[in-house]
Amino acid sequence: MPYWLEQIFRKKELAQSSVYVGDITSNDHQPRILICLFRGLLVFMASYATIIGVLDCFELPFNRPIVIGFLFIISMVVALLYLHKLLFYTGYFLILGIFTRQLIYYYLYANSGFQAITNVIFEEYSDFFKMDFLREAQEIYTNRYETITIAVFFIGTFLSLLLNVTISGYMNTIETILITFPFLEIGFYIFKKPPLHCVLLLLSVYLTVAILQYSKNFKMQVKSKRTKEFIRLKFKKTHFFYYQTNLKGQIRTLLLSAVIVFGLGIIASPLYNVPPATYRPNALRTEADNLIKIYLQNGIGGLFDRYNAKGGVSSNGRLGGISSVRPDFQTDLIVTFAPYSYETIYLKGFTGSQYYQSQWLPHTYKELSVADTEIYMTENNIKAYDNLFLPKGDKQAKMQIKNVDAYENEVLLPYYAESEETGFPVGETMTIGFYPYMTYDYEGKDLSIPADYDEYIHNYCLQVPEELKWELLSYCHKNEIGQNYDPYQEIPQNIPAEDRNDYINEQRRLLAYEVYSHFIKNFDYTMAPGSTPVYYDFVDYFLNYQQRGYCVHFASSAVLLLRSMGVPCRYVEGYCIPATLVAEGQLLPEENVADWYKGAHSLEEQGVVEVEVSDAYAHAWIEIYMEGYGFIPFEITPADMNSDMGIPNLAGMFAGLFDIDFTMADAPEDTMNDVVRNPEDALKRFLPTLSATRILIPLLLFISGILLVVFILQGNQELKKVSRRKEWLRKKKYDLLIHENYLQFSKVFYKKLTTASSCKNTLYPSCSNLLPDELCKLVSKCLTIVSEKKQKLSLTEKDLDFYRIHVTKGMYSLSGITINEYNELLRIEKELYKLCKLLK
Amino acid sequence: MKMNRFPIIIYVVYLFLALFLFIILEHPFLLLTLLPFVAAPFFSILIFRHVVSQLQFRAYCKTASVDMRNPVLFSVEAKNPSFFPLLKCELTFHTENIFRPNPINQVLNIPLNARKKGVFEIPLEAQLPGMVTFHITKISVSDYLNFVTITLPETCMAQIPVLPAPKEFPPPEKTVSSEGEDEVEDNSNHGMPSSDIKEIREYRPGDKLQRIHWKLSAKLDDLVVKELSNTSVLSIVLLPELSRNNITETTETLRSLMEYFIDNEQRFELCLYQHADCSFEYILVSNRDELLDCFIKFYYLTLYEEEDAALNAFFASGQHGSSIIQIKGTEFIHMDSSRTVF
Repeated sequence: MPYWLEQIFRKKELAQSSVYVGDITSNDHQPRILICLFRGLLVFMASYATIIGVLDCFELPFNRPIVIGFLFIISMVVALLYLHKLLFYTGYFLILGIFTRQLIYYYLYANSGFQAITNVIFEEYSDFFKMDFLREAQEIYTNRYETITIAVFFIGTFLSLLLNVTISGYMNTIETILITFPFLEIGFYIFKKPPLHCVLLLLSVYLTVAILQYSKNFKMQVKSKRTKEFIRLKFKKTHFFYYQTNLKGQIRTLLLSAVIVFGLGIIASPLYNVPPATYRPNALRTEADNLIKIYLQNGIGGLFDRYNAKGGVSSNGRLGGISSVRPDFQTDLIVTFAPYSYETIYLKGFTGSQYYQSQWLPHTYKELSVADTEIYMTENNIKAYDNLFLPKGDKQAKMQIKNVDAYENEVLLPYYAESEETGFPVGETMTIGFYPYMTYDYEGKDLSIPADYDEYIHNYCLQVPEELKWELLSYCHKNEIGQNYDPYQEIPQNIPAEDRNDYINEQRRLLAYEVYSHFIKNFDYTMAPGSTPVYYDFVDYFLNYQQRGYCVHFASSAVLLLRSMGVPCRYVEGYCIPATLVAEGQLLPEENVADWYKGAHSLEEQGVVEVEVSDAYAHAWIEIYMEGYGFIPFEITPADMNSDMGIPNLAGMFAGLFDIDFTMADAPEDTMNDVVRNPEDALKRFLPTLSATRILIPLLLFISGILLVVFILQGNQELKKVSRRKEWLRKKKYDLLIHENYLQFSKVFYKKLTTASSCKNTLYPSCSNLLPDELCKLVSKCLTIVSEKKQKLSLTEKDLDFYRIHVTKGMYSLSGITINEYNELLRIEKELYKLCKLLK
Repeated sequence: MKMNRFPIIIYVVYLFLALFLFIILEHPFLLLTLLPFVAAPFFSILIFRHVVSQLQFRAYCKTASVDMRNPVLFSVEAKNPSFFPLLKCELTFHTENIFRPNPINQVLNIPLNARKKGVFEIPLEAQLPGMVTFHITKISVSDYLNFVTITLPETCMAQIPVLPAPKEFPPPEKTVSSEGEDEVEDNSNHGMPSSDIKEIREYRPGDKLQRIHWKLSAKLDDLVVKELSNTSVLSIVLLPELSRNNITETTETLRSLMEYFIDNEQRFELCLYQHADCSFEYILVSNRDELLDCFIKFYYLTLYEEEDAALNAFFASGQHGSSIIQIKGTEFIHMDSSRTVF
């Protein structure tokens, strides 16, 4: 309560009842430093149990004595911040400043340590869930013993700061549990147990904090001019005085909690060592496991994906709801065929003709018509028309596809296949015949295209959303894409009629390559681009803001860009089977190639292979309409040059959740070069600097600063106490003096005086209630006796008055006595002592 | 013993959340984390009951009296001889000046350290003179987890008279000889019969033994005193008015007058008027030591609204005094038994 408010309440209460309760004090002096250190001990116990528990749980290598010592020191240092107001307000900034500076300087070491910890944990989780190990973070420094030690310094500091707030600041049980237990939970979840003593230590801390919190007996106000022992709270009819903190009570509470917890823990330790039974998760656990698996694959952003997508490619053309792509590398399809070239084989599943609100719609959408016509195209119409351009030549092939885990509503067909299938359930196998012609490796057809199909191609497949038209055109103009191409330009007269289609096709192909080149130069391929914000258009966001993505981003943007430049094209999703995957396939020698393939091929040898296609090969591409050839597949996605399939690093822990992923921070060039040139022993470089100047000396300076401030601010009082202590320790009466118990001291004189003067005064039958007034009366009687005997004493009535007044003041006033008054009292009491001797 | 529902509910919620976690995680060693929290309430209540039975409380004041404007210091002792501390003990206490009742309750939340006597000093600022009381009306102790609260049957009380600060003022005229004996003593020393007996009244502390009517006292089985016609004129009677409006000033004036008379070795009687039953109590004051007792009795009197109630009642009841000093606030009126003002 501010001082001015307190004075207002005081005056009000005095006016009302003429009595005001002042600042209540106790005879038990609470040493602030020890209270802070006790809390530091709680912080240390919690941080030790958490960090060491996790490290031992996953058997991570680290320098144990250094880590424990560091955790102890940092816990005590942060706890001492509550010693004084000035320390409290400046200490946090100072520690965070040092922390940040050191983290920036030793970022690579800390990052490597952090990556090492996450790699081990992810590996254990992947083994537990029987997933192929998917993500591996890059560790620049590979000596885990050193890098983990250094990373733990920073993690431990951060944890200690948080625990300091929850324990020293608020003494809040639930917050303390939330900060510490999840770390151990990482191991518990996959049945990996931290050491028993860590668990019991943490439980002791929880119980202690809970007891102290409920007792409301833990607050220690930050030291300032108005710090008091009791906190005063005023309500209408009741006023409360809360005793702030009691060190001995807290220590005993901790001991009691530890005895209970460790006692029960030891009794129940056989339970702790029981191995888990066969893993049979219940429904809740299964749900939790699924979420964990998503997180393992896709990171935190994966938990917020708006829909499921295999390899980032959804069914039904949905776009932008996936923050990052983390394939599970599980087999989606088993494809058996006879390879015939080194070109990638595309299995087409979903074709998107219309782009509507960040989604590709399939061929037909009942509410849409083609321009101003009344033509409605059905799926089968378009497929039938597309098949007009099938290169039905002398090459024929067969492909068998088994759906292991792909989308059921998509029929996956290789290029130039005919099929009437409408669905492809999981577990089913489909045998498809197709014409295995490579792109442009056949004669184009001079067909008379039906009017509706023509309308579909040259109108429907050129449609771009109204709100994006201008954006796309201005984007092309700004980036100089298609500057030499005008779709409305007349074909030059010098080109013969039979070559017109080729001319048009060439123009379109060049335009597509221009878009492709633009993507290569200005965009990055990444599997973790982040999801598109809900109120943004997917293509617009990709082109203007994100500028990084994977196949779906490139394909969708390319289709709209090309359409805006007058090139009819479509968006396609499916799977791709590159030659490298074919090479990994299993050769089926028992199969007769002739049953699978007829016609020429471009391979040295041919055989029948069975290829397992995982979701890593889910893909999106575009189809450009080529006159005479129909819709030809075109690969528009740049090759993956710097894709980061790994776990985001220390700085990028939340990659994909909010924005783009954050791979390794741009390390200072010198440091990077140094790493490359001189991959020295990291800890050996770190430790000398630790002992020299980099960490140890700033830390020592900080600790010295704290102590100096303590001494300056409290030193005056402490020095006074010290001087008094020196004076009174000799007489072993220091405590009596400090605790204002002059009565006890005065008893000595009373006894001697009564004995010496034979003053068996009935007014003072019991010396336990002797007060300064009464003592002074007795002394003046004794002085009378002495003066009659004509003895000289340097003790007068004035001295006795001084003694009476100032002993009372020392005992009962709020301000106490000054050092000079104390010295004078000392002199008087010495004289009283002499008086006793005289009277003997 | 009272069960505190809210902490119990919160605790049960925590346990259920932990149990829920256990169901999700499905590993037996998590039971280890639940075990201390399930066992904690039992230990808490068990230890609590053991400690509560041994607690002792005391309230007292270190000094017999205190001057106004000096702090009044009450001390509360809380003794816990057991090995276990208790962290939450609430003492509900009430402090007031009897002349100015105070409806506000104060609650003091203190820890009870193990094997230790905790002494808590409660300073009070008393702005006005009067009997300041400190009364602990309720002592509640809670267990470690705040599940159970026991209210102890003990209550403690302490009180201290706050004396007014003496003031300087023009001294009253002397109307009674300050030295020498009264006529009764003089006559009895010389063998002369005493003066006429004016009345027989009951014995008051301070009355001389020679005045006791032994025969009548034996008959009545109670001490009675002969009030001679010339005796009463020898003492001053101080009659303070306990009107509510100026009680502080009255008290100050009373003290000043009493100290004046004592310093000048003038005998006087303090006549205390109890408004409830219109009775009077006379206290003969001859030295400073008796001042405190006077004020203690004075502070227990009931205040009233009228200004001259005591004086009117004094004359109405036929009380006598040769020299009566009525004290009203900062004024004092010196008069004789016929109400003639000097």
